[in-house]
Order: sequence, then structure tokens, then C-alpha cells
Amino acid sequence: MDDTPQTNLVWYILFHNHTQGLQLNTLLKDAGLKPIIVPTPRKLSQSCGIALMIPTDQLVETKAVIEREQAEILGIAVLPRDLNPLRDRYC
Amino acid sequence: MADYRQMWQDLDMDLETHDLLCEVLPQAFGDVYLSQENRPEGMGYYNFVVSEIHGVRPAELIEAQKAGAKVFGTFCVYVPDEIVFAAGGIATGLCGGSQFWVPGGEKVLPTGTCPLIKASVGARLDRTCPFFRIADMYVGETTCDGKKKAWEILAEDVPVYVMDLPQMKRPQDTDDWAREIESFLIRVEEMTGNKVTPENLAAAIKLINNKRRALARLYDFRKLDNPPISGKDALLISQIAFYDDPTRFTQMTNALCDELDKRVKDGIGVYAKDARRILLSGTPLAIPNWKLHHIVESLGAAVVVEEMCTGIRYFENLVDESQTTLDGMIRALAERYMKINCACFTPNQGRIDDIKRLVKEYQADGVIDVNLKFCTLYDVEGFLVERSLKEAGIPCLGLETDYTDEDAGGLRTRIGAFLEMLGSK
Ligand code: SF4
Ligand code: SF4
Repeated sequence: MDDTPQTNLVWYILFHNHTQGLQLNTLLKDAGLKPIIVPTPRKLSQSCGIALMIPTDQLVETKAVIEREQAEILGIAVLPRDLNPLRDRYC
Repeated sequence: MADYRQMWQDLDMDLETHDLLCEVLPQAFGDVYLSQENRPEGMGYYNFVVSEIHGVRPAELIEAQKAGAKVFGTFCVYVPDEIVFAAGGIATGLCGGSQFWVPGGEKVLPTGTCPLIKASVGARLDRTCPFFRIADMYVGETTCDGKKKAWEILAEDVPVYVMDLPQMKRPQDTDDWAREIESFLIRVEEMTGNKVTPENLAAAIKLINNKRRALARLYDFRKLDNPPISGKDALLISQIAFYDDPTRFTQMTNALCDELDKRVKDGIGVYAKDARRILLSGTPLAIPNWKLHHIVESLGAAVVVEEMCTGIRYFENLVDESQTTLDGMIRALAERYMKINCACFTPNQGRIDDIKRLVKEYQADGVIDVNLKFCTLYDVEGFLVERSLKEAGIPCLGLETDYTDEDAGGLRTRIGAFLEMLGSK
């Protein structure tokens, strides 16, 4: 395994509260998409709580669901994918 | 991305210091959990619980308190949650599993105290964990020396009730534990203002047994060839079991197990076919202590079971549900809890027998006996455990660790060498 983090992009949907996040999670899943509930990355917010992680190839469809369902969100943000199992920084 | 600042402020927390923990959690969780391929979808619930760990559940507890309920914080799997729930209270685990809280503990405890105790004391005194702020009463026990003395320090800051746990397993010790559960019941009744009755205790016994059944069902999947869920995901679920609402936890864990049933039918596993299978044994891994599982699994092996309090000691053996009187139920509780095999008992052959049984049940290729630094009980017992496993021809590696990141490299090397020694299948 090489220890350079993968550099493709990951999209995050941010919410005012977890209820909105869980609702959109269900809507996206019902639409056959694969959102992942994650802790909001620190780079995107000073608060903690959930965000939804969306792979780039599902972004267009995800946005369509948000629009169609008029789902309440705080925003959409993007970060380079930075998941490194060899970093050995725990909490 | 809710803002819980007001709630934390009302709990008189140190927001600035707490913020440092919020800062490291998303990255660590990402590296350990989100870097996995092919996770069950049902893990979404546990991702949610971790993401909102200092928000959603604390807010629920505060709501319950407003409605008159009392919250009891516990530190050991011998403390019978059933009594608390029967009296309309809520029990929540309080063991600290993060290095973040250790320096706070070291302000009042000797450095040579186990990190679990230091973190637990630090989380309270530094005011950096909402659960430690919310609990109306802490329930301690006379298990190890470090904890016994820590209760005295904590009691200066928060009401602490200590249960006197026997240290041997003769028939009279089970009698003593039943009496001790009775005394605890009286204290819980005083605290909550509610009576424990045969009806509500029977319901609470069922409630907690159902949680145990769900965890047992989950762990059964790990006995299979190429399990459909990783060891670190199972660990996370075990850790969350201590905090979450028991009804919801049971429901979500059973829903996950339904998905795992389907995965098994479809032949979906999360490991490479030749992954070595490891049993982890020893001291508890309180949330968010994920280091060992992560290292073992990132080296290509599978952690298939934990002979730990965050593992089988928490859910094996049910409380007899056929009792109809309070005395009968208290007796049944005492008998169930006295079946847990912790190193604070002497002798503790039961633990060695458990490990050997689990090696067979979970088809483990080797055992890693883990000791939290400065835990004398498990450290000393390690000699007997490791000797006995060697005699039985079970490969065993003894390791000592703490909550810091510094030993990760060394652990990788030693575990890697152990896995190599186990050879390929
Ligand atoms: S290791 Fe022993 S003292 Fe610690 S939580 Fe488990 S049973 Fe209790
Ligand atoms: S790990 Fe050992 S020293 Fe630490 S609290 Fe548990 S029994 Fe006590």
C-alpha cells in the first residue's frame, strides 16, 4: 500500500441540523444513490455533526434529488479525498 | 452540522478545549472507518452516532432529565443497568478512551495510572465531555485499585455510588453480589423517586437481554469464513452499545444483521480470502480507541472477536427471564453478572477457558493479548494467559499500549511480524 492519500475529489453536503441530513440521506438512498453519513470535516465547519459524503460521479443526480424534493441543506462543498489508513493519527 | 454550543455552555463545559477534540475526530474517523471498502450500508447509523456523539444523545439525556429522569454514569460491565432502567433512570457508559482526556487526569493522578482511569477522571475534571457533565450520579465499583481511589477524587466533584464487587467466585460471593445489587436498587430508588417492581424489573431485564441478543447475533457473523463485516466496525458497534438508547440500538443492530444475512447469502465478505483471523483479548477498548483493530486490519488480517469488556464480556450470558419475584430476579442478575471473567478476580481460570473456547468458535489463527499500560491486573494475568495458550498450541502475542499515537509504528512492526509468523493459509 502506498501512503500518499488519493487525490480525487469528494463532495460534502452540509446541513443546519442532523434531522435534515438524515432526511436527505433517506431520499438519496430511495433514489438508488449511495451517500455516506460522515462527521463534517473540520476544514468545512467549526461545528461538529453529520454531513453526507457523495462520490463525484453521483453529484449531478444528488443535486437533482435535492432540487426535486426541495431538501433543506446548508450547502455543498468539495475537498480532495484525504483518507489515509497509514496516517496513524488517532483521537 | 448542528450547533450544540449553547447546550455545552449550559453544561458548563470548557468549550475551547473541547473544540480540540472536535477537530481531530473527523480525520481519525475517516482514516480508520471511511477508508474501508465494501462496508455494510447499515453502518450509516453508527457513523451518525459518532458524528453526533457529543450532540444528539446528550440532548436526549437532557430532555429526559427535564422530564424527571435521572442519568447514571457507569464504568464497568459488572454494574447492572437493569436496575437503573427498571426505576425509570438511564444508564450510560462513561469510560474514557481518548488521549485527549489523559493530561487532565494526570493533574490529580500518578502518571503510572492506566489511561482508562486517567481519561475518565480528566474528562470530568476538565469539563470536556457532555456525558460526564450530564450524569446525575456516577456508579463505581471495587474492581482495581486505581479505580477505587479515583472514585474518592471524583466524589469531591460529583455524587459517586460505589458497588462492592467480590474478588472471588465462591458461592458466597454470588450471595454477596446479590446483596450488593439490592443495596444499589435502594439507592437508585431514592435517587429516582421510583420503586423497582417485579413488573418494571422484568421489562428492564428483557430490554437489556435483547441488546445482548442483538450483539450476539452480530458477533455470530464474525464466526463465518470471510465475515461480512469488519472487526473494527463490530468494535464501533460494541462501543456505541454503552451509550445509545437500548431500544433503538437493538433495533438498528438487528436491522444491520438482516443486511448481513443477505450479504452472507450473496457471498459478500470484507476480507481477502487468505486473511489471518485474530482474537483480541485483554483490557477494554473504550470509544474512540480504535488503534489496535485498525493496525491489525490495515495489515490485511481480520479481528474476528474481542475477549474484552468491549466485546463478548458485555453480551455473553443472558439474565434468566423466568423469575417472577424481585428476589428471584436479583438472584438471576447476580448469577449472570458473576459469569463475567475479569482479571480483578482470583483465580480467573474462566477467562483462559473463554479465550480457548472463542479461538475455536471464531476460528482464530492467533491471539493478541492486549494490556493497557499500568494495568497491573491484566499485565500479571498475561503471564498465565500466554503460557496456557502456548501449551495449547495457540500462537499468542502479548502487547502493551496506551492511548497515544507514538507506539503505532512499533505496534505495526510487532503485529506484522506476528502475522508473518502465522504464515499464509
Ligand atoms: S476490565 Fe474488569 S474492571 Fe474493567 S470494565 Fe471490564 S470487568 Fe470492569
Ligand atoms: S484497564 Fe486495568 S487498571 Fe485500567 S481501569 Fe481496567 S482494570 Fe483498572
